[in-house]
Amino acid sequence: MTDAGTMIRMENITKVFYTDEVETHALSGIHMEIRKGEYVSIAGPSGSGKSTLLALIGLLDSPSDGSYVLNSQPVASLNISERSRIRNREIGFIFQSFNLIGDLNVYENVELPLTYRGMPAAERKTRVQQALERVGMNHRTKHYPSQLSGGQQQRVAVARALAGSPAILLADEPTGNLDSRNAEAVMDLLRDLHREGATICMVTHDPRFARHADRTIHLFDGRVVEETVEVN
Amino acid sequence: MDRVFQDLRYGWRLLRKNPGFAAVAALTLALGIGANTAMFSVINVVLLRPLPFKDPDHLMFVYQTMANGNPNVFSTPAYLEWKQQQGPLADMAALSPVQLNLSGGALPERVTGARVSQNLFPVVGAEPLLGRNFAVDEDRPGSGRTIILSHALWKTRFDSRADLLGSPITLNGAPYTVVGVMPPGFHVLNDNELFWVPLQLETVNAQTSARNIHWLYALARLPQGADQAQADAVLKAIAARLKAQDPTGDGGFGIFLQSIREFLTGNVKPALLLLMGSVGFVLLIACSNVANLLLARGTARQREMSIRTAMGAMRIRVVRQLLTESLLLALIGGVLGLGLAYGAIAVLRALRPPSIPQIASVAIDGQVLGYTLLLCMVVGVVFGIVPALEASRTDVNEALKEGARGASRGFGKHRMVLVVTETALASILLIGAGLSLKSLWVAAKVDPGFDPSGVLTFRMAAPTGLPVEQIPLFYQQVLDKVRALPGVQSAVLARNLPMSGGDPSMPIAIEGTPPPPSQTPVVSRFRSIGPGYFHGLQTAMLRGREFDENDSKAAPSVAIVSQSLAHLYWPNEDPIGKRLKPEMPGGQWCTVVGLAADVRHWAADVDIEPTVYYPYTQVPDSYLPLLEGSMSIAVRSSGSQAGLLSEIRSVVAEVNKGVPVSDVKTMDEMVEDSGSLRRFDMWLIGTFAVLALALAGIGIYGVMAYSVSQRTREIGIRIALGAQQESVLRLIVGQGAKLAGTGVVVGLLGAFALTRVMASLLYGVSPTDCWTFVIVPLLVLFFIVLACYVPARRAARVDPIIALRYE
Repeated sequence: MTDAGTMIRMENITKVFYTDEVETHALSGIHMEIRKGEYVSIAGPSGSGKSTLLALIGLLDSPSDGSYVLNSQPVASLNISERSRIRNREIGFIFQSFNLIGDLNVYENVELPLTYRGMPAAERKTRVQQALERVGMNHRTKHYPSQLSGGQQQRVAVARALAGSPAILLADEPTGNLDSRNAEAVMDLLRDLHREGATICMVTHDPRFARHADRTIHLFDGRVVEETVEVN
Repeated sequence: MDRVFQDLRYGWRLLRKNPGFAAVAALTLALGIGANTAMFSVINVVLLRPLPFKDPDHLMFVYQTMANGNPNVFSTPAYLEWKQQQGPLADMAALSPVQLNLSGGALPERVTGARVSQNLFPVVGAEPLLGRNFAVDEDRPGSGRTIILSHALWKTRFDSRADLLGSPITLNGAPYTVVGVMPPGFHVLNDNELFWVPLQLETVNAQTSARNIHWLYALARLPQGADQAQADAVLKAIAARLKAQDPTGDGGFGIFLQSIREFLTGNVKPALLLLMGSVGFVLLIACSNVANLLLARGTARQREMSIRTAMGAMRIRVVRQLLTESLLLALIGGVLGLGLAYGAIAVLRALRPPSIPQIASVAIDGQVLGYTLLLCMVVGVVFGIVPALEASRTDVNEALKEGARGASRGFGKHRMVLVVTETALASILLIGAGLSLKSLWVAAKVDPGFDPSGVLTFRMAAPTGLPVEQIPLFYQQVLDKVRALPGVQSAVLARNLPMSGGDPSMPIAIEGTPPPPSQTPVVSRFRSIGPGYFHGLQTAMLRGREFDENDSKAAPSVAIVSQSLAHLYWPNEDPIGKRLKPEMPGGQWCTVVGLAADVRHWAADVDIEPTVYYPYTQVPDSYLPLLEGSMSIAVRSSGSQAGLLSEIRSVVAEVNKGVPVSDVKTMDEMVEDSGSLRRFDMWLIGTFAVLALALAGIGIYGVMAYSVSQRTREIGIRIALGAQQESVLRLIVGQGAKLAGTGVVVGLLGAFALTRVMASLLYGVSPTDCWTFVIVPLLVLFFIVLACYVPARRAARVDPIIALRYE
C-alpha cells in the first residue's frame, strides 16, 4: 500500500535479461520508495543496475517480477500504449547526452512532449515559454541543438522535462557530458527545482553531485546495498 | 591501367563482401537495362536497320495530292503526266500490290507480290541475287510473262533451286518465266512481298485510265545533294505550271513526298519511340534507386574514405575508385539485363504483334550488345557520380574520431531529390499507361457495327480465265456449298470484310444535287458485297432491303448507303429511292434500296466513313481486273471453326481444285488484329509503368528504412517522451507521403506536358484526361504510403531503451 505522500513504491522488483540461453539478473529484489518532493540519487559502479532501475522507474521497460506503484497507480504490467501515456504525463526525463532532436529547434524540442499530450497550441506555447524561462533559455527558442553548448543543451532538456509539469523528474547522469562549470549549473538548477517542490530521481556515480540529493540509494550487482541520507 | 585493375579488383571484393547490397543493386539495374535492351533491339530492327535500298534517304514514295489536300496513290493518267515532267520525278517507278494463285505444289497457294515498272529495281538501287532485272521489252504489253521471286519464296517453295532461273512457274493458271531472285530481306511495300511481275501498264490501261481510279504506288529518287524541301519546291512549281495548262485537271493539286523509311515504319514509329522513352524512365528510376543505395553505403564507408584521404589520396582519386565500383556494378547489371532482355524478346517474338513489322527478326546482335555496353557505361556514371562526390567530401578529422557516426539526420538532400524524381517519373509513366488503358477500354466499348463472334473468314479468287459474267456463278456455287455445311448459319461475300480495310474511296454523283466543284468531290467508300451481307454480319438494316440474287448485272443498278452517308447528303430525308452514281468508267446511276447502320471498316478506333455498298455483280467491268476477282467470304457457324475450315477447303476444291483458300482468320482475330498496335503499346507501357512503380516503391522503402535506421535514437527519444505508436507511424508515413506527394505533383506537371506527345496514339481520351490525372496520382500515393508503412511500423516498435543507448 502507498500513502498519499508516496510517489514511487517498488517491491521485490526483478529484471532478468535473456540472451542465448544466458540469464542475466540485472536487478534482484529491489525494494524502494520515493516520496513526493523528495530528491533521491541512485549511485553505484558501472554495471550495478542503475540505468536499468531508472528505465523501470521511467516506464521505459517492464520488470520481470515485482510490484511498482507510481503516483498511486500500479504500473508494472501496463501495455505499451498506457505506459506511453503515463510517461508523457507523469515523468520528465533528463538524459546524459541531452537527447534533443537535431532537426527541431529549441522551442519545438520543448514543445514535443506536449504535442503528444494533444494539448492546444496556445497552452503549449505558454508552458514552453515558462519552462524555457525557468532554465534561462527563452532567448534561444529558434536555435537548433547544434548551435548550443553542452550546458545550454542540457538546460533545454531540463526545460523539456519540466514543460509537462511531471510528477517526477528522472535524470540519468545529467552532468556526464558537461564540463564542471556547466555541470554545477545544471545541478544548481535541479536543486532549485527540488526546493520548489519537484520530486527528482537522479542516477549519478559522482559523489559530489549525489550529495545534492536528500537520500542516496547505493546499488551493487543489481541489489540495494546501502541507503544514505544527506544532512544539508 | 594498373590502377584501374586495382580499383576493379577492390570493387569486386567489396561486392562479394556485401552480397545483399550487390544483388539488390545489380537486379535493380538489370531490370532497367534489360527493358532498355529489349526495346532497343526492337527499334534497331524496325527503325534503325539499313533498308535494302541504295541511299534510302533519297528514295521517296510519291503521292498525288487530292482536292481535299490528302495524299493518294496515283491514277494512271496522273502518273504518266508527272513522269513526263522534267524534274525529280522524271525517272519515277510505279508498282501496285497484287495477289496471285501459285500452283504446282500439293495445294494451290495465294501469294502476295507486286506489279512493278521495269525501272523499279534500278530506282531503288537493288539488284537480283540471281538472274537479272526485267528487260524493257518485258514491261511492254503483249510480251511474255516473267517473274522475279523473293528469296523467301525461292527458298521455301522451290528449295533454293539454282536451275529455276529460266524455268516457268504457274500463277493464276498461266506460266511465268523466272528471271531472277532478289536478295534475302528485300521488299518494297511490305515484308509479305514474295514476287514481282512487270507492270505492263498499257495492258491494263483500258480499264484503269480514269483519273479517279488511284491504284499506282510511285517511287522516285531525289538527285544527289537535293533534299526533300528542295524537291518539294521544284514540284510545287511544276504543279503551278500544270494548273495553268489545265485548270480542271488534278495535276495542279501537287505532289506529296514521303521518305521510304517513313513509309515502312511511319505508323509504328511514334509508338516505339514512346515505349523507348518509357523504358528510359524505368532506367532512370533504377539509377535513382541504386544511387540511393550507394549514398547510404557511402555514409557507412565515410571512415574508409577518410583513411584513404588521410593517406594522401586526392579527391579525384577517391571519386575514380568509387566510379569504377559503380561501373562494375552497372556491368554486372548489364549482363543480367541481357538475360532478361533475351527472355523479353522471346516473349515479344512469340506474341508477334501483327502491327510491328519484322518483329520475328528481332534479336540480340552485335549492335544491341554494343548499345547495352554503352548503356552500362552511361548508367554507371549516372548513378555513381553523386554518391562518389558525396562520399569523397569527407571531414577527415571528424570522421576519424573514435566512435564517430555518420550523419543521421533526416533523409539527406540528395536522397530526397532522388525519391522525388523517381516518384515523379513513375507517376508520368503510370499516367501514360492509364491513358493507354482508358484508350483501349474506350476502343473496346465501340460498337463495330457487326457481330464478329462465331465468324470464320477467308479469301478466294475466281479461277483465272473465267469470263467475267461467270464469276458470280462461281461464287454462288461456293456459297451454296458452304451454307449447306453442318452448323453453318450464314455465308456472305464481300470484296473486303470489315477490319480488313482495302476498299477505295470513290467520288459519287448524287441525283438532284448540282455537281460540286472539282476541288470538293463527294467521296465515299466503294464497297462491293454479295446478297445477305448485312444479315450475315448482323449489321442492322435501318430501312429498305438487302441485296438479293435478283440484283444481277442485268437488273437495275442498286445501292445501299450507310447511315453516316445518308446523314451527310440527305439529312432529315428518306434515302430510299434516291439515286447516286460512282464516278468511274462505266458507272451507272444506282437507286438506293437500303440504309445500313454504320460499320467500322478499318478498326474500332478509326472514324466511320460514309460508305456506299454496291452488289458485286453490278460492279463495272472496268473495276474487275483491278480486283483480280478476289473476294472475302464470312461464314457464321455454331460449331468448331477448325473443323469447318477443312470442310470449306473441301467444298471449294469440289467447285475448282485450282482455287486456294487464303487469309483464313476468325472475325474476332481480325478485330483483335485491328487494335494490335494499341494493345501492344498498352501492354508494354503498362508493364513498364508497373515496373517503374515497383522500383519507385522499393526505392522509397529503402530510403525510409535507411532513414528509420539512422533515426533510431530520435525515435527512441520521442517514444521516451510519450509518443504513442500511432504518432510514430504517422510521423514516418507522413514524411514518406510528403516526399511522394512532391514527386506526384512534379509528375503531374511532367505528365501534363509529356502526354501530349502521345495524343496521336490515344483514342477517345484526352491527353490530359481528368480522371486519369486524378486516379493515377492517388494510386501512386497509396502505393508509396504502403511502401513507407513497413519501415514506419518498425520505427513504431523501436525499444526506447535500446534506442537511447544508440550513441
